[in-house]
Amino acid sequence: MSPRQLTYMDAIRLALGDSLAADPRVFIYGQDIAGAFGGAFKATKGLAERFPGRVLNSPIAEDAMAAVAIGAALEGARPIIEFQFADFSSVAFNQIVNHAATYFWRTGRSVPAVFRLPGGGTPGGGPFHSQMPEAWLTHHPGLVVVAPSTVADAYFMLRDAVACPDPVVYIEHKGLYNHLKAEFDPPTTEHLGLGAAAVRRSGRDCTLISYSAMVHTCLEAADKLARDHHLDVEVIDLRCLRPLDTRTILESIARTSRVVMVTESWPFGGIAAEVLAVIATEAFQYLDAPPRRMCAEDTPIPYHPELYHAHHPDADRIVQTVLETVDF
Amino acid sequence: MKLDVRMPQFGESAAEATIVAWLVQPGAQVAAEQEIVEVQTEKSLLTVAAPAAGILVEHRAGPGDAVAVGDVIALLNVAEGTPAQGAPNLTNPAASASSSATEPRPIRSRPPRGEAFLRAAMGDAAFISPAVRARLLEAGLTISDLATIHGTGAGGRVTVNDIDAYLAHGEPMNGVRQAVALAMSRSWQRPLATVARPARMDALLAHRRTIEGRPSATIYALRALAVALAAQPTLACRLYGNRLLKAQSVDLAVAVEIEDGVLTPVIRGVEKLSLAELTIAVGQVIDRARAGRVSDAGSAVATVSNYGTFGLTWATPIPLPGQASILGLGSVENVPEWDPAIKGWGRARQAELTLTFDHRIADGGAAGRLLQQVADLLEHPTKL
Repeated sequence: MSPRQLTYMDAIRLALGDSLAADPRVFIYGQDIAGAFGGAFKATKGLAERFPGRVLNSPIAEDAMAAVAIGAALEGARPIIEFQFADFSSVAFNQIVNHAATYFWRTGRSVPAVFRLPGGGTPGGGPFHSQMPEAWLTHHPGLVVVAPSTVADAYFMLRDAVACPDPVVYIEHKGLYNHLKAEFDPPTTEHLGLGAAAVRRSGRDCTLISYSAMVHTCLEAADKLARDHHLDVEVIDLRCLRPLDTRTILESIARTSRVVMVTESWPFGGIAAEVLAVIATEAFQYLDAPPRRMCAEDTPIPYHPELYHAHHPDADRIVQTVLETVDF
Repeated sequence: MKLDVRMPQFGESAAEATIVAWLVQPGAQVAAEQEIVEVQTEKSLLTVAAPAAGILVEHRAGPGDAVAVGDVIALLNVAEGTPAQGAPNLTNPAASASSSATEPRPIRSRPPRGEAFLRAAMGDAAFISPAVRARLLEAGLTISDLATIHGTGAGGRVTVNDIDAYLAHGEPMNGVRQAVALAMSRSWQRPLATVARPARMDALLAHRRTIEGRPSATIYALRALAVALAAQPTLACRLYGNRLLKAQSVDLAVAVEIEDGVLTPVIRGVEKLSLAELTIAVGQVIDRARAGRVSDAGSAVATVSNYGTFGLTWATPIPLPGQASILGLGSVENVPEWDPAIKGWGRARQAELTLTFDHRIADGGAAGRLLQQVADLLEHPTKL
């Protein structure tokens, strides 16, 4: 059988269907996900018909949705919660960080729930439909937080998230939903475990670290750096933000001695700050230049597409930051 | 308003200075910049000026008192609001900086692009990154070697890639050679000086036939140095920063040539060993060193190098890092000697002695007197 062309969203839908088919404990709960609508981004389209009674509409009440998931998980179910936008998961913050994250540590009973958060910006999305919430969610011990960047990862990391006994926050990127396509055939594709980072491009001159959609911007920047500046840049895709695969990060720094971390979320107290702190502490003797980060501008996300592009890291600005680091 | 007058930091490495004489007595009016006290540092006699005009209220230290840089030496009564001139508040720079009322700088939540990142290499190429530092250590290079490496970083900084490009030449030295190179480079960073004088060797060469094991000239030199260091311990010490640690016993190293390098095994308490005992002890440590079981120089305070065995009459070997001196023994040469008994020239045997020493610990006089005693002992071996 020849591999199929799938989009990132196709892979998520496939993983949801395969999870429902593989395990009768799995159910999906979210706003407008059942019936013909199939969710805001059509992730569940057709699944309510295939799996009657297991794809359920919720009220517009994110905290209640998360609370249902926690209770169901404790009773032996494997709930998958779909928030319409990652931005609105903050309404469920209390349930996720105070209850789901701490439950095992308080009682010894695990909470195998998956929270799907459509995150990331698209031009015109504005401040309430573009955010990346990983900084505040990874802050809390007890949660697994993942952010897949590829079609294969979108599939396998969602399947692995459902299988994971801990609560998993699965941050999917809206900008990749229909734009990212790849030949993908789950039975024949090898994949990394949930907690592993991936080296997407090998290089010796500088390490670019990112996750989610920014990995592709980093790869574009790495191509420009190779073409225009003869620089050989390594690109690491963290995949899993908590726990961090520090080994892969540190091994890369040992090879390149220079690092730029790229996120489309804000700089202050973010994943880049955390990763660079780990590098400064554990790879100090490998560093030949100050670790740099290239994040979104430190303001709310603007609506206007021109402002949005100015706010958002792009390949040219990553190239510039890498050049400054290499020329240090 | 009272103003502290503090001991200034002089343009040298002095950490303190001693008050020599007060030029202004309490109660007297002083002008700003007026010289008020003479102080002596290790190297020079200097005067300290008043930081502001006012009345000198009190001396806080008297002649002969050593005062640390930054400590208060006097109190000055000055007009309200007078800023101190010239002498900054050394112990609390922030306090003197804030004494002038300036507008508080507005706080920006985010620096403008381009200003946010200050290059550490800005201004000169002296910045050494952690990776460069680690690579230098790995490669047996020292900071001074950076001068020979072409830097391609900002401002000519040597990057880790520059070091790798530099190191891609040639073949690595073997381990022993690398260890010697590192030790010699480290030692060479301090001021070393050499004193020398000849010693007659006739008596020693006769004496050795009477001692069990027929001790070599090296053994005599070790013994003579140990006896001399026990009597004149100036160089029987180690230097830690600016602190001297006196050695508890005179442990000496002996330089032993091996293929591609030199080993310096240590004999402990040489001042307590007879020539015969020392002959056995030296034989044992040399055997162990050659067998590769001893690689460190232990806590020896000095080394003896008999470079005369290479036919050399004179050399300036470098003491090992941490050791205060190295005694060198030249080859025994025939020299003419006036014999008053026959009123003619006879033959004497003579070797040059050299003592290369750490000039921070001792001066030429102390080193010369030590070498003098070593020579005297070698010329009168029965004293050993």
